[in-house]
Amino acid sequence: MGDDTRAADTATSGPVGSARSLLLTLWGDVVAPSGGRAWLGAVTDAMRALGVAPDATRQALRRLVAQGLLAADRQGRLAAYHATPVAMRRLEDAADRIYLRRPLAWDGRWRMLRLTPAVGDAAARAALRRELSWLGYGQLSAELWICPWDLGARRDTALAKHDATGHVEAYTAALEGDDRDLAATAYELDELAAGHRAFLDTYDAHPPQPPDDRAAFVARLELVHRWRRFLFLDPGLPAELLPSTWLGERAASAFLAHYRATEAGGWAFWDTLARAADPDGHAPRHPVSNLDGPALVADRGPRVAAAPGEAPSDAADDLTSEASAGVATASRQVGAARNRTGTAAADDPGRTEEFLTRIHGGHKVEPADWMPSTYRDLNVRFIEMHANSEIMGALPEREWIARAPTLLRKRSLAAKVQDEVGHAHLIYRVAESLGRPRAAMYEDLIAGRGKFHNVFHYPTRSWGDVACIGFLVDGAAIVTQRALLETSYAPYVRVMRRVVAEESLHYRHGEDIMLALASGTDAQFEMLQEAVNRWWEPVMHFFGTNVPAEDDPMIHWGVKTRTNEQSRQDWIGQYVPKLWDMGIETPDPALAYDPGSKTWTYTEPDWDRLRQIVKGEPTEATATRLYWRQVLHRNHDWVHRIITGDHVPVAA
Amino acid sequence: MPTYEVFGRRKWDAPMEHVGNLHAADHRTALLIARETHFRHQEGVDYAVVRSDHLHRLEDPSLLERRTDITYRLQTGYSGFREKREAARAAADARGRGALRDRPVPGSATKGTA
Repeated sequence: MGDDTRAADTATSGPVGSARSLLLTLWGDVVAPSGGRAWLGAVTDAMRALGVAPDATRQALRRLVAQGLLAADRQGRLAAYHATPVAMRRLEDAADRIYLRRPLAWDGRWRMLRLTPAVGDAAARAALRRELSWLGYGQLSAELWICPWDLGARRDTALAKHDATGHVEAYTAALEGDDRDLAATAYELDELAAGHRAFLDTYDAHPPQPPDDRAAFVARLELVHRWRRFLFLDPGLPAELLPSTWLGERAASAFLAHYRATEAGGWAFWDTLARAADPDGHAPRHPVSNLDGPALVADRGPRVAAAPGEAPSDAADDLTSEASAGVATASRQVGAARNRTGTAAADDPGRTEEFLTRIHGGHKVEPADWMPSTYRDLNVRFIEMHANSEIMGALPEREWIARAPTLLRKRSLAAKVQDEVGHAHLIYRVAESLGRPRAAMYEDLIAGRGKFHNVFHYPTRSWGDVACIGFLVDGAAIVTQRALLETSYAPYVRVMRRVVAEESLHYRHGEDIMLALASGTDAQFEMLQEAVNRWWEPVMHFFGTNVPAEDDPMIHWGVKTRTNEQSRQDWIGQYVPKLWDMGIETPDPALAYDPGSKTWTYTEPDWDRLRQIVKGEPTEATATRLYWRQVLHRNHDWVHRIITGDHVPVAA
Repeated sequence: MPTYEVFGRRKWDAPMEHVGNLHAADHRTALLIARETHFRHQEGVDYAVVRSDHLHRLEDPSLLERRTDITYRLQTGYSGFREKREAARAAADARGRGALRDRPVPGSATKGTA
């Protein structure tokens, strides 16, 4: 429906772009893949279908000839136009980006260029900057440019074109900090997001089937025309560098869905025009699909070079940076060769799209199934953080086992700490099934490189804190973990069933301590109230910012099924009434339930404080806990060696 | 001819459970026979076989016995919540904080508290 409307609109409201820019779209999408040359008759007919009159087309053709992009030739009385070598290179270059032939997995390293003062005059530098920006580089300062991809020969060609070869220093570097922040500094992401939003307003996820080939051709050319305009803005950043409000992937899947729906019909229409204009009645050969073109090869691990459907046996190496660096380099030639023959289809966007449709329809993913690398990486990151949090959550409570007031409390706290460590074991196994080795996760954690939930960075000052962790923090964990029973990765679901069952016991344990303190002496009551005051904001932080479902990559990729705000509302609704019931005040004066809208209003937590806690220097509590983990890890190494069989028996 | 133990999953999110054993020449044959023997009526979505002599069973069942009271590890170890909540409410009233529980909360509108 949408497409014939648009086709009809074109006839009445005029073309979507100037004749000149539409000609470039036509050449890039249709003529260049067929060899770069087309008869004038076919071009004017095609442009007429797009709403451009023949006179305007001829005039625009003359301008492109004057600019050195096209050249005219004749055969008898028939005129033809062909793209000049310069234009062909540019069109092929653009095609990699237009048809999303860029690999999606990032190796975590930045390619940096420093422009030395020896790079030409001001005009030459400006031209080089435009070129770098078009290639996908972002600007950090006047001299410094960065890009997440290894652009290899394309970079060298661009530098040579502006006589900059030898005047530019190239580095490959890993940032010690937040890559997202760096990306946000170097690229104009807001502007780009607005562009994507506008594109998605026009093209939704469900392309209509065009009624005939002509309509398909018009819809396809208009689609490519609108799409390629982003490319001046879109650096094609990997998902892990994009803000959570990112729409690029959705825009890309909408583009691909619409392109697939119109490409074949479009070729059929063009072939008809080309045959009609050709003196011998032949149409030039073209690829079956522009989407299957040669992929741009970046640093890829062995997993991606594997044929689709193959079990990712080497995935472990792919995800551990140092250990895999050699492997990735060694396998690059393999990857390149496979890509050239078109069999590798590294994270083919169409396949990714089908995968997403399946998991949003309730399909569950098993470890041996094919999955897009972004899905694998997001799940590993999420699950590893979850497992880390179980360990780091056990430590604050562990500090209180010896100090717990009664034998029963000591025993139950010890049992709970054991449960939490047990959860970590179960959940690390799930992350391992996705290819991340446990030893690497644990070493990262105790070295202070692992990420874990904000609530486990705080000190436990009093027995009231143990009550708060058991009741409020575990309560928050139960709310979010229940939602994980609907996650798309099957081993994670099976493990979460057991974890959630055990958490209910922890919740009982927490509530029991809360009630004992609330009905105890004034000193006990005040101790509890003071602890609740301190834990309130960390728990509100715990759920994350209010990101709409459609902008949350964790929901898009089927890791989470509920928004942060839904979870926060659930938690408040379940736990705050219990606090009030026992006479404990909540520290936020704005906190109130509106029975009409059935929502809770509250004071927006200070998100800078959250950022400080999870990304800044480790808190004293965290530094101390990690220090003891390191000491104990070393001292208990003999246990580990017995379990793994890596021990030397002592002679009697 | 070796014996194979058969394990199956009734639903994709259920754990693997032991369903029986069979004789077969090798694991491929065992998988085939297991399908015909145990899974021909949609009994499961997934199954596996393992040679019985590759399974190591608990030799000393007393390892599962607990010699001490472990109720603190179980939900049943925590009880009497109604009384405990009543006690907390009474304590809140005594401290002049009873009004907190009159605030609107989910479900309270039907009770007519205002």
